[in-house]
Amino acid sequence: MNRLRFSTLLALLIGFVLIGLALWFAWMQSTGGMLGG
Amino acid sequence: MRVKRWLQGIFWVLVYVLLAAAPLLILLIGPVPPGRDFWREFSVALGFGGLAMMALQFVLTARFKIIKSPYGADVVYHFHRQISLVAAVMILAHPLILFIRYPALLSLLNIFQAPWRARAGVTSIVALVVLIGSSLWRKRFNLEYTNWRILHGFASALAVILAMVHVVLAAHYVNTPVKQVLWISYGVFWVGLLIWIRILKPMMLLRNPYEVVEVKGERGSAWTLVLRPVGRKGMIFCPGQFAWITAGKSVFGESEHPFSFSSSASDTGKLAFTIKELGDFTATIKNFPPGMRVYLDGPYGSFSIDRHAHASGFVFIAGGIGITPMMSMLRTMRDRGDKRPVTLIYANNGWETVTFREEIAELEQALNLNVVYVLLDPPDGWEGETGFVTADLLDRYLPEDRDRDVQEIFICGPGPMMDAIESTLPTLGVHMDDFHSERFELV
Repeated sequence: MNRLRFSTLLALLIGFVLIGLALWFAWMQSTGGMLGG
Repeated sequence: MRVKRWLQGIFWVLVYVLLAAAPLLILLIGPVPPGRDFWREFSVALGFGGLAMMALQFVLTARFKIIKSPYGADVVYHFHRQISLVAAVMILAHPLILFIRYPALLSLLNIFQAPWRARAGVTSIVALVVLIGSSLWRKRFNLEYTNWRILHGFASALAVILAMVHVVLAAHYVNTPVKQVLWISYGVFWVGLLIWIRILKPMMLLRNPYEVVEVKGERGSAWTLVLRPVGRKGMIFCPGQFAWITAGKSVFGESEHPFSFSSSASDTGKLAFTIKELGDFTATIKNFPPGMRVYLDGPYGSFSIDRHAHASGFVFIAGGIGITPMMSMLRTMRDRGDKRPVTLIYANNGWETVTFREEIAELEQALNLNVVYVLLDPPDGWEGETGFVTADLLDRYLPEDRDRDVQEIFICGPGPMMDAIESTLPTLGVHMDDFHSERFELV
């Protein structure tokens, strides 16, 4: 795997992490979890 | 050294993730507004994440050497391009989810009647679409590089600033004084970064002018631009690195272009860049008169033999004008009396257009250098290698000892050639850490 492909995979991985964080945030907020609500 | 670079690389990735998640983390401080339904909250969270990633793009291209050092400048620019697509998907998903879930919100697209928060948001997204489209298809749109950079700088600043305005006007999550201060600080940080990139950094360049000594014609429609520093010592660089050149116009413009040094790193009193005439800016080099002022920002790049002092030998694989950084490394080795063995595999279309071929013959005498020319269109009677740089050719000319950390391989040439060679080398027993490449053609 060359370095450029590695950076593409890293970008995708970071995207998945942030989308995961957004899902967690939305779930917590919509269910009135620890964020209050 | 290598472990240190890996650790630095991991550290900056973690910093990136933390900064990208920062807006969502800020929202968690203090009282949080009442929750709404899942899809609305998810849409908002995607918007915040995407906005942070867009703002972080300025850091990636701000030429902070400390960030680029562990990866190489080309990898950082490639990441900048790829992560922008991820950010764009997240940002576009923000209104799309809302429109699907609440079709009545489609009326916000009418910017003549919509509230200011929606106007800012819609304009920001239009700027984002222009930004991404013009970067992905610059050549298809016949957009000159300089014009593209102007558009890119303008659209990116507009997209991020208007998105921040959208967040403040929407106000739902920036609901306490603490969060307002944090959000404004976050915004001031990005605006400060923009001021640094667009105003302060160019002003610093003004203090380090160079002047044109001469412009020499080379084989293969290339020109060597020779510069000398005005009133001080020249830039200290590692052979194989590159600098951004601004010539003729204001340093505040977008007329900078990256080129590799072709001169020896041992002589900083005269810096040379060899540039192939490919269009727009590169076609004007030959007309630079002696004495003309030029500004350099650099050096940048990790493509250098100096980062691999442990190597017992080197292999340079160049295609066409990709010979430029290799010449800098070969000339430097000559000046340093470095007798480590070097194999240069140099691919070209024809024999008459082989840039530096006469000087390479001289370097063969001065160095422990073995040159393999590979011609696509060889002249009659040619007995050397022909065609492309294939796995079979590489296997014949690469040193037998391919153990890790013994030989370091440098590749510079057209993108498809580099892709092919980078895919081939691991199949020939070369470890990924032992080959290095540098690319500029990213837009």
